Formats: sequence, C-alpha cells, structure tokens
Amino acid sequence: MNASLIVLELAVVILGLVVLVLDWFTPAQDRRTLGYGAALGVGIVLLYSFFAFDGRDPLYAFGNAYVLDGLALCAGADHGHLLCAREFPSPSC
Amino acid sequence: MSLLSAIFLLPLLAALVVLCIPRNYKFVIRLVTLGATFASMLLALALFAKYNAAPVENGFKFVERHAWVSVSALKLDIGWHLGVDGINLGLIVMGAIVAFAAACVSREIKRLEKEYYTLLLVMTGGILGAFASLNLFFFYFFHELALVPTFIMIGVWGHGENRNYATFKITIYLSLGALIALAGLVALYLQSGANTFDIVELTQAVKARPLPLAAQSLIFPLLLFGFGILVSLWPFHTWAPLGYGAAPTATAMLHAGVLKKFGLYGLLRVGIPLMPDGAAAWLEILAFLCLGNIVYCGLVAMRQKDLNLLIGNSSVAHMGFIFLGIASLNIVGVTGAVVVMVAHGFLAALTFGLSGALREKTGTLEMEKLGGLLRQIPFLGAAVVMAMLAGCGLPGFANFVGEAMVLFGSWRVFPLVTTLATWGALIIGAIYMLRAVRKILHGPEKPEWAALKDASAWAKVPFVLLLAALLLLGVWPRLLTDKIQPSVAAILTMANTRAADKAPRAGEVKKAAGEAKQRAVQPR
Repeated sequence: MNASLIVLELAVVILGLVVLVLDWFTPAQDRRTLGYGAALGVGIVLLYSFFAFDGRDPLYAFGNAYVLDGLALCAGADHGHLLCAREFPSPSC
Repeated sequence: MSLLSAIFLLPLLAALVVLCIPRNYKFVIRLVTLGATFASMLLALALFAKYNAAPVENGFKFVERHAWVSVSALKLDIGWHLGVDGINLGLIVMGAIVAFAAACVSREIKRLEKEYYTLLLVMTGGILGAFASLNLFFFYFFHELALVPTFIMIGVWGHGENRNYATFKITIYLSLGALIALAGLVALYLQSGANTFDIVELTQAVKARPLPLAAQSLIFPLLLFGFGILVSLWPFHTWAPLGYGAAPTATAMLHAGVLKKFGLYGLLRVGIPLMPDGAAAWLEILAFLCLGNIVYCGLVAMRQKDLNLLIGNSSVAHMGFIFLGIASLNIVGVTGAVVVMVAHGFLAALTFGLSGALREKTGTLEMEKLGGLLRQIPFLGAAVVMAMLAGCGLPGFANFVGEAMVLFGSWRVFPLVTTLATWGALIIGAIYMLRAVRKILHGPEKPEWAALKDASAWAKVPFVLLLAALLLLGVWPRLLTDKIQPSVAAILTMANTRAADKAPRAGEVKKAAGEAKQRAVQPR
C-alpha cells in the first residue's frame, strides 16, 4: 500500500485532531485565533500539495480505488481554498 | 421477521406510526413509543434467555442474512447480515432496557412531542441496529441513524444557556470522529481485497491473508482515534460533559449509556481482531491515554458544582476502564471491559435519569442549592445513593465486577497504569460521588424544598428497572461473563496470532541461550 499518497488527507485529519485538543485549552475569547491557526494549517497543506505532487501521472492506492491525479488535486486545492475563505472573508463578503 | 430484526425494527416502525398520528394526540404518541420500546425490551430479554454459549460456526447465533446490493463489476457486496455473540448480546439487551427507561422519563418534554418521540424511536432503532449488524455498511449506517437525532434533540429540547454551543461542539466532535472511523473502515475494506463489507467474511479473509503491517499501522490508528472520539477518549473528551449537561434526559441516557459504546464495540469487533499488528503498537499508548480519562476526568468531576456535569465527567472517567481492559488484551481484562460496557450503560442511564427527575422537581442541578432532599424524596434519594455507590464500584453492583476484572487483567500488562487507575477509581471516584450525595441529600432540610413530592409509582419504574439490572449482574455476574468469555476468547485468538508468530523466535532465543550455556561449561 502506498501510504504516502494519502499524506494530504492524513495531514488534515491530524490538524483537525490538534485543533480539537487546542480548543480544550483555549479561552472562549481566543477561539477566533484558533480558527485562524486552523485555516493557516489548511493553507500550508494546500501549498504542500502544489509541490509534493505534479498530478501529471495518476497515482493509485487501495486496489486502484484511490486515485491521485490532476483533477483530484485541483478539487482538493479548491476545498482548501474554500476553508481558508470561510475564515478570511474578503471585505466585499 | 426474526427475533433479532424485530428488536430494532420495531422502534423504527413505531417511528413511522408516530409520524402518522396527529400531533394533538399526545397520549397516543407516548403510548406507541412506550409500547414499542417495551416490546423491544421483552424481545431482547427473550433473546438473552434463549442464547446459550455452546460453540457454533463463526461464533454468531440468531443469524439472519439477505443479499441487498451486489455489483460484481464494482466489486461491491453489501448484505443484510445480523447476528449475536457474547459481546453484542449484553449490549443489545442493555440498550433495549435503557431505551424503555428513556421513553418512560420523557414525560418532561412539553413541546413538539411528536417530533421528539419520532427522533427517540429512530435513535433507539439505530443504536440497536448498529449492535446487531454484522455488515460494516449497516453497522455504520445505523450508528449515523442514531447520531443525527442526538444532535437535533440537544439543539431543540436541550437545557441551559450553553445549549447551542454544546450542540455545535458535540456535532463537530462526533462528526469528525465518525468521519475518521469511516475512512478507516473504507480503507480496511479496500485493503483487505475481500470485496465485502461482511464482518464475518472479512474476518475469514484477513485470517487467511493478514493485512500488511504498513496497512495495519495506518488503518488501526484511524479506527482508534475515530472510535476514540466517539467514546470520549482523553484528550478528545470535552464534548461529552458539556453535551450531556445540555441534553434532554432521555437523550443523555441513550447516548451516554448505549450509543457511546459503539466505538468500543467497533474496536473489539473490527479493529483489534483484524489488525492485531497495528493494534500492538498502539495499545500501550491507549493504556496511558485511558489514565487521562480515569484520573484527569475524575479530578475534573471533583470540581463540578452542577450534578449533570459531574455525572458527565464521571461517565468519561468510566470509559477509561473499558479502554484499559481492551488494551490489556487478555481474557480477564477484555471480558471485564465488556461487563463495564454493559454495567456503565445501566449506570449512566440511571444517573442521568435521576438528575433529570431532580431537575424536574427542583428546577436546578446546582448542588449548592440542593441539600437535605433525602427526607423529602426518600425513593429518589435512595436511588441516587445507590447509583453513586455503584459509580464508586461498590461490590454488589455490576460495575464492581467489570472494573475488578479490568484491573486484574491489566495488572500483569500495565502495572503502573493499573496502580494509578485503581487510585483514580477508588479515591477520586469515591470523593466526588460521596461529596455529591452529601451536598444533594444530606444536611438540614431547606424550606424551598418542603413541598417536594417523591416520584410517583409510574415514575419509579425506569429507576427500579435499571437498579435491578445493576444489582442482578452485580450479584450474579456469570449470567453475563459465561456468555462473553467464549466470544472474547475467539477475538483474542485472532489478536494474539502475532504473539504466536513470535513464539518460534522466543524458542530460538532460548535455544541460543542453551547453546551458549553449554559452550560456557565445556572445558577449553
């Protein structure tokens, strides 16, 4: 099994778990900062996805049920962008 | 319809019936709910009475199988497969009893009754269906079917100023946990190559061709943390006290008592037997994490001023014993863990039910405001004392049996953790439980509670039922343990395959040591 292919998913899951644990220690007035931190984390994963995979040759895992190609990377990047946009809305929003 | 199907389909059918009843027929709606949960409870008790521990092929009895979706081109095979063994039998019976008790205490709901009872019945059907399913698809589907009503019920019929925050928090935590567990289950399905969601077939396939270590090392932590969040494993436990504090009584009873055991059941049924090598690397970490549940959450419970928050933290602390029993991976410890799962289900339902009754009568759960209640409400007071003593692990209650077995089982494997857990259980647990009894029930009678009336005969029914179950399994634990042990042994046989594989290596070491000794005594 090529576990390195799902490194992006694992990174987001671990980020989520870290945010849940940090939420435990964070006072209510500082939770927005935690949200910024979470968005920053997703942004870093998003940036990493540009450099880690070029998306030219499709890569497969889990008996070909998991495909990492250009379309998958693009959809993942779009999702990451949406999450960041939720936390950093533009002034026009 | 088989006996097992009827146990969880009856509440689901009743939910459809309730939907068809006009909303002003409140009495009929409540009657249908009570009737369905009562019938489901009787059927579950009949299942328990009929079950015997004699070995059968694959270890499951009352098996029901129907093909549902089978697309060979997509390598997809989803079937309706139900069955019981010693592990889920107790959970199904406990779930059905708690569901009836939860329906009994739901009189506190005074608005949107039709929607409330529909959701309660869906939740009941979902919980019992998840435990009865031997197909990963339905196992997960029924869990989600029970989980969604939980969020809605807390949001709509919940209590307190923090209700909305609690709803969001519990939704985020449990959705994330369920999502991580789903990723693990899908990865398991794909990696096994068996092209089936059937747990029995998957087990046979993995037995014949074990998953590679790399896959196990990746999938097991997904299941551990996914299921762990659902069970409030420390440090992902913060949703539980807050959620239960805000939840309607019946929802807290059903979720803390029954639905929360889904994650533990998933670890026992799927995680450990199918990925023993992946589990081996994580069980020691799990043992130390469970200390966080037992000791840390116990200390947090000591600081609580609200009874529901105290019970919520205590419930999280009790989960630590189950994790410790599972981590011990021996027959005494794991059997004890299953006993605690059942006993804690009854106890959590009892304590949340009693706190709901106290809130209904006094309008508050702040322990400083309560006090001297035992003379005014002797039945409820005595039930609170018994519940708190059961929570301390007093002999005579089922919790004692389970916790003692867990501690005996884990002692050989994790002596330090067991020592600290025992301290947490005996000292910390006793302090917060007995302090709560003193604050709520003892002390001078307060004039504001002078007009309080004890529970009516009908209101006593759920508490008598739950206390009777705790006492019965406490004085006659073999009723449960004799059924659990063969199933646990089968799981441990699979889980300990890894140790068996290592045995030749141990033999080699012994042989090498013998040869070295021989060389040493030979004259040069």
